[in-house]
Amino acid sequence: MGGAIALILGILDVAERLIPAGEAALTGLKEVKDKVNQLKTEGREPTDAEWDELNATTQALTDRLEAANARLNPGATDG
Amino acid sequence: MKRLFGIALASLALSGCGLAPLNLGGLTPGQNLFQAHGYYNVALGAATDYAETPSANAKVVATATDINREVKPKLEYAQKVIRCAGPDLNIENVEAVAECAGLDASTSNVLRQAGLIRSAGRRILLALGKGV
Repeated sequence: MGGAIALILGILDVAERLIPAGEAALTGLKEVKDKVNQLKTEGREPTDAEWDELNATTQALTDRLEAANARLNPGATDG
Repeated sequence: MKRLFGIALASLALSGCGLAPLNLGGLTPGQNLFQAHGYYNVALGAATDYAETPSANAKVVATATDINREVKPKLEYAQKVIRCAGPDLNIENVEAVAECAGLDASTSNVLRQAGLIRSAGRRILLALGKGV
């Protein structure tokens, strides 16, 4: 009985972490789609500022991922 | 739950990060590249969020990190081409600026780079799908 409760709590814990991640990804995809549709509708190319924003996001995410990787794989080098 | 989430990620990988990189869908090469980079950031964001969870799998995080390192020069190169050649990929613009010399500003090359970036995003999501 106790094992079953622990299992259910474990599943809920995983769900609690993963469902928001999936929702965030879907929201992100929709934002990109909307942005590109906007460019298409306006008949223009991305501005330098829009490219810079995209690059800044990539860099910030890369920094966080590299930090997490260094923590999880301390022996690995950065290639 | 793990399987469901894996399927959801795989679906995202196959839809959002597209299996048809050469299909412009009415987009210019610059818009196409912008879209590919945006979708890639979504995959990178999912990998980062996952990597920061206490139970993240070290191997999966290493895979995502390797893919991200691999794609970085492609992101930089493709943007340099767009910025050098302009939205209409004018080769004369490329030849006129020293730092742009030698860049392949052909439409097919820009689309190829966009395809590689989409593919990298898809590979990250598939790695996450296996890890969770």
